[in-house]
Amino acid sequence: MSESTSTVNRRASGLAQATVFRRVNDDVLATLQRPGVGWAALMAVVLTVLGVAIAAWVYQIKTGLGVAGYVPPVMWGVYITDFVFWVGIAHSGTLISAILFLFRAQFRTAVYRVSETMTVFAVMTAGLFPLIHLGRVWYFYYLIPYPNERLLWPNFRSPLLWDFFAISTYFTISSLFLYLGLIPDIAAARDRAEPRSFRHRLYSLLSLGWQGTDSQWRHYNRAYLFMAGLATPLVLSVHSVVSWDFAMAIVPGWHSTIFAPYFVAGAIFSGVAMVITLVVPLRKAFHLEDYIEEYHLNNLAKLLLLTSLIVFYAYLVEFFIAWYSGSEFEKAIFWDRLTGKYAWACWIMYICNCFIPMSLWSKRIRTSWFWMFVVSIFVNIGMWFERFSIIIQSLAREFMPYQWDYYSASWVEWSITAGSFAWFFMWFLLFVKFLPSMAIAELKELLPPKLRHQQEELERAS
Amino acid sequence: MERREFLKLVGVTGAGTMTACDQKVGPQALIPYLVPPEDVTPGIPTWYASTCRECPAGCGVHVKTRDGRVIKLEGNPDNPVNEGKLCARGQMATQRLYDPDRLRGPRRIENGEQAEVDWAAGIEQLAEGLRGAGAEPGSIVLLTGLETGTRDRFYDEWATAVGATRVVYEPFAHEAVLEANRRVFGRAAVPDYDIAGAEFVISFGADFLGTWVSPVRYGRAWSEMHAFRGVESVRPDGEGVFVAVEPRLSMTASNADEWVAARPGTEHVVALAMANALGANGPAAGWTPARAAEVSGVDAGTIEHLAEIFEAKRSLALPGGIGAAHRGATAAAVAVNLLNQAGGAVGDTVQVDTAITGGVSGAYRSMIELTERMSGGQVKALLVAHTNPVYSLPPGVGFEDALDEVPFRVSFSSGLDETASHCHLLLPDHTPLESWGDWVPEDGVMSLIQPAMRPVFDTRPTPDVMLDVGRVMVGDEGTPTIEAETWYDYLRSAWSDVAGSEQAWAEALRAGGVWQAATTVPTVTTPAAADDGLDFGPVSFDGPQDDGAFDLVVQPQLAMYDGRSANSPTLQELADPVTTSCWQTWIEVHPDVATGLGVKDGDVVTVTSPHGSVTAPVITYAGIRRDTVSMPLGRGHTAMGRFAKGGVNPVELLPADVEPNGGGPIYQGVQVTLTPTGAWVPPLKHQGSDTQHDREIAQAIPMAEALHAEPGHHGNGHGEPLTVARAAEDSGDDSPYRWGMAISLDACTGCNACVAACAAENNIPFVGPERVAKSRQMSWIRIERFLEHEESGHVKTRHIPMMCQHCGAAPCEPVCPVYAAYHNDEGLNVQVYNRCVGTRYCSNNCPYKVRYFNYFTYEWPEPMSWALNPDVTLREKGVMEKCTYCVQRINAAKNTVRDEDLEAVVPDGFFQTACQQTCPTEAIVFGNLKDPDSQVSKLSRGPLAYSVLEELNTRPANFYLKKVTNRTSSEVALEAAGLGTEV
Repeated sequence: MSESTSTVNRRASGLAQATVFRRVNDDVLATLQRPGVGWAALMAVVLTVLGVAIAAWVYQIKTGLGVAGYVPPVMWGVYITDFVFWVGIAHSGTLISAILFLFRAQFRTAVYRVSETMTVFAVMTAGLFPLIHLGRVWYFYYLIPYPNERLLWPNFRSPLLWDFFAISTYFTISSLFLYLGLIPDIAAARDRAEPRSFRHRLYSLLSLGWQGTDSQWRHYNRAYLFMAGLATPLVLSVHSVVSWDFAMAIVPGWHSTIFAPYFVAGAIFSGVAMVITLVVPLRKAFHLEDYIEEYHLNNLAKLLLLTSLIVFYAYLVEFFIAWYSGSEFEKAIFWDRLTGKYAWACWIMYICNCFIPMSLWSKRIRTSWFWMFVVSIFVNIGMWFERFSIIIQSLAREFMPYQWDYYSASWVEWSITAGSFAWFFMWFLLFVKFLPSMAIAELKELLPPKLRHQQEELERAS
Repeated sequence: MERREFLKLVGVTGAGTMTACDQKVGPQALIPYLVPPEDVTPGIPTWYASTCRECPAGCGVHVKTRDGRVIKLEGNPDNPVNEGKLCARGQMATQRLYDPDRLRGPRRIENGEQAEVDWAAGIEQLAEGLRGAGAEPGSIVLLTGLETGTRDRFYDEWATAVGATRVVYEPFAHEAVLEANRRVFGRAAVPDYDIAGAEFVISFGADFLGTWVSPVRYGRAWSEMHAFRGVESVRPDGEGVFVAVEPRLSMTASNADEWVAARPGTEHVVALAMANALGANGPAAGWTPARAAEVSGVDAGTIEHLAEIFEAKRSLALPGGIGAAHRGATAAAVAVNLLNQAGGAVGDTVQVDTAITGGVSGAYRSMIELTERMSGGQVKALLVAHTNPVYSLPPGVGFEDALDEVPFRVSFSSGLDETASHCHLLLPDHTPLESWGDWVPEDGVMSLIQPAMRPVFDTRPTPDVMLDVGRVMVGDEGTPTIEAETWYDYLRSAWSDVAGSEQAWAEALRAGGVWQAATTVPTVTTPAAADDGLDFGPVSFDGPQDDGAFDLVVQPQLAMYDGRSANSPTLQELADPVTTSCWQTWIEVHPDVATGLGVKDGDVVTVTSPHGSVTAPVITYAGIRRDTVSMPLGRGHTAMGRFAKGGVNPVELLPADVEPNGGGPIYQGVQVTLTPTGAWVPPLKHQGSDTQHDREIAQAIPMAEALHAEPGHHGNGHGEPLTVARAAEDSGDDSPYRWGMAISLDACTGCNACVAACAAENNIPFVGPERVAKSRQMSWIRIERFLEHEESGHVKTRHIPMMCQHCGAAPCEPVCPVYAAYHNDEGLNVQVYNRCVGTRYCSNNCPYKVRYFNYFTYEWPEPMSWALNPDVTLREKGVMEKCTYCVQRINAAKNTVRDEDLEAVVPDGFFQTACQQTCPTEAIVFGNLKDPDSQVSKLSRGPLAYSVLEELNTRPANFYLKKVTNRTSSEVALEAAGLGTEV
């Protein structure tokens, strides 16, 4: 209890200058003002990259999957790497918003909206890749269990099908959770919007008639708690299911019981890194220095360090088990990972995921905006290569030496990968201009009561 | 809505839709047979017996046609040459028939431009040209490839009639072997080598399992001699042993128990020294094993040991191939003959009385003479049929330039090859599958060639064209005529002796020919002058003779032969059995040498000989001597078609001179230097890693253990041992079948015939070199070739055919999200193309990596698509495919049996899969594992059976029978004595 009080006090001092609720509204809703040149320029870049990616995909559908760089036996490549990467990114959103909510970790308040939207958009991005990688995407609906005259059902034993359900469930829950948290804030935005303008009508519709009455707050808080409770197991289960795409296969380097926890930790690791990557420029661009402080950064950095250690441990365990199992195939695959043709990818992953985050033992780095941004970029890169290593290197040197080969991605795959970032950032750019990127209502909860006196005094004085 | 209104609406929209459809499709002519052809039942194939003409071996074939189109070839089981088997090139004869680059009709070439002519005009022009050539002897030359039988006689007769000289040229004409046999045995022919009957076969460079003389026949014979078929198959006096003496571990040598890597040009010295050790005199007198060891690099003890075995066993020494294509070729072949005599093989395993007609005496020398006459302006008209000297002669001969001196040049080639493109008039012949003819592959065997379908293009049989020309010229003074209206009449009357009556003729056509006992029995003589003018010493090669120079071995490539098959895309894509490369000409270099040169696989080097230079990518190969490099023949065409262009032609490196005694070409005669160019191209190897990294994929067992192995003890000790009974459980309880295979690694030679047969049967597309570079080749069956580097320094090869294992617990099945991969009632692992969405998860999870993905929709250029098997679905882009165990044949067999008796079960051996059907060594046995008496069950229960990657517990339906090594007579003894050859 005392700790929580002290946290609140610390927060209060942080907001010493922002003494009025109005100012919270002003500052946060200022992000919704008419976009500037910078925003428009970013949007133009993003749309161009996305356009190229769409063209590349159309070309791939028309010509055949061969325009991607697949070299059998590497039948999964950058697309699946991207898929796992984005699913991973999607995970820390729910972690930060739901699990930290349940644990009452209040440092989440400033960043949870960003991470929740990141979750939703990352799932939307990830969900594209299973389609993009299909040989015959025009028959994707065969994966959906719909009643049909042929009495054909999908194969419920296939991890790919579990994946389909896991991702769609996760998308549903995380978007509902995001929306629920947004309702009071949308109402605040509604109240600020020009009456009868497009925005006003949009916000009126989305705020579902929110008036901030006591009973509404009570229901809201209950619902939010339940949703947080519902979302929490998903954080663990969804990425476990994704990891089973690999762990259920017999491919050496994939077939491992550690994969579920290992992937969950990796997902949180990459997600936290992505939150930092997003929050640092956002804070700068919208002058939110008073709301997102070194205190938040420090806490995110600690989370990053913790997950980095878990991931590092998982890497080591993989090698131990490969040796301990006595399986020639396992041993060969892990030895090759360190020394073979794909060793470069593997070493990028170790350096970015294990060695660079060790710098976070230093508080100076943990509280430096610049360095944390740099570290988060490295972690993003490292986690992408982790998936690349696992997927591609394992397939490239499977059981049959006759079929060993080397895969490198084609321009189509790189375009679509770049396009996935563009797609993600397109949504994110739209989001910051249409919806409040910080939780106004929750920020206000943190203002200590005594400030309310001060506010009244100030108002009276003026 | 009212009921009436609804019905009205349905009626109107329905009619509207149908009208729209009609308009869209347009009028179509559907004309049924009013009088259906007697022998055509829609949906049922019609078979014609004929003879394969893809090489001079002349195997009998059954040509499968559907609705009037040839779709596949299979060996004719009645033909004594091949007994139902066929090689890869024979399987792909359809791609010669449907070659999209074939000439579509007669053409005239003027100033490099092709112009269409009609046949009458073409024949008129030919007659005109012949008249204009004058009556000087030798002014008209008819140049043909090797022909036997009636067509050979016809060409001679016609040449006489029009006053032409006939020249016969074949790139691999075995000139030296013929000359040596003339000298030693008194008959210039390839004798009947009884490989099957021998106990010890030693080959001095002859690639008899791949490209030499009659590879299918020899493959069968070799497997009879050598393949382990169970303890009872081993002869009481010991098992068959095969030793190969050659500088490079060729496909044939890779099946040897011992590879003796003699320096190039010294193989025969080893033979002489063996003869010497057996006490032979004459040329062998001075060649003691010790002296031979000095020049050949083969240990003297090895030579003595080989001589001992040769004497002790019923033995056979084979000359020819790369061991008899150098400047001392005739001496080399004589040396081997002398060894055969010294060892008592002549008259026993070497039967001179029945000879194989696979050679042409002095063929190459006659081309040199022809070139001289052409350059001298003595040849006024040159007619070329079935041979392509512009491609296959070394440029130093000057044939191409000499052609310009001939005022009138005519080609009868069915395609526009290099020689044809230098001609004025192109009068394309039918391909053999459209032609009448016959072939005499050996004494007493007369095979018929009959057309299996109507001609694809506007071509005409060359003999008919010649008869027509004769009729045009008949007015000319003094031109004798041939007594025949058509070529068919001529053929028919030529056969009047053996099949005169209509009934006998029909019977001969049905059987594919007439086989009689050979009648000629010449006396075996050894004239004292057998070694007249021969130098038996080691042959030196042109070149600097220093450390930087390598002896160049140039050998026919299995799929290309002499280059005639180069426009077959499937053959181009076939993995070379030695390097597994394709679509290009590579140079094989020992890995240590490559390291020294600073090159790796795919690095392009300039290969320079004293006679020319070419560039080629390096492929490292541990099965070649360090002082030797090797290049395959057959690629690097400048004409012939769209698929033939890849690679370079190594004959550009070769000298133009003639082997002085036999009159053959010098394929082994130069040293080359290698200069890296810095460029790199994909090595186009099908195989990733050359070794199996101790993974026990292709397993072997020493003979001593094989003889006493107990059934049921197979497996490598990791998993629960698999039994046939267990595999048989992996089908439905109600099904009488569990299909499975037993594949003998001891019989498999790696000849790739199964690969080609599978491609023909199952419509497997070729993908082209750009896609092979990305390993996207589609072949459902592949021959994995693993090099075993033994502790003794020996390099051994294991071949293992790999295709879908139809696992009982198939890892591919549960991961498919849409049930495209599922297990059917008969234990087959089935792939439903229509259901497949292309997640490729099944392939990731297949430990055997035998699933192939359609990265594109692959197409066959017209008319190549005519060869597609209508019983097998074509696959579109985005779909996974794999070996089906020829499910169309399974179903056809079940239907046939059910027509007789609803309850009956398909009996063992009732049908064969395509790979099994063609395998020359019968390495593949297919059948029902649920039937305990089926051959496959028995083999799979045998002591040598194992499953690949058994520890994964996938319960495959494919059982492999281990390769048997360390045959007591050779290897154990050699290695124990510290002998043998290290490379």
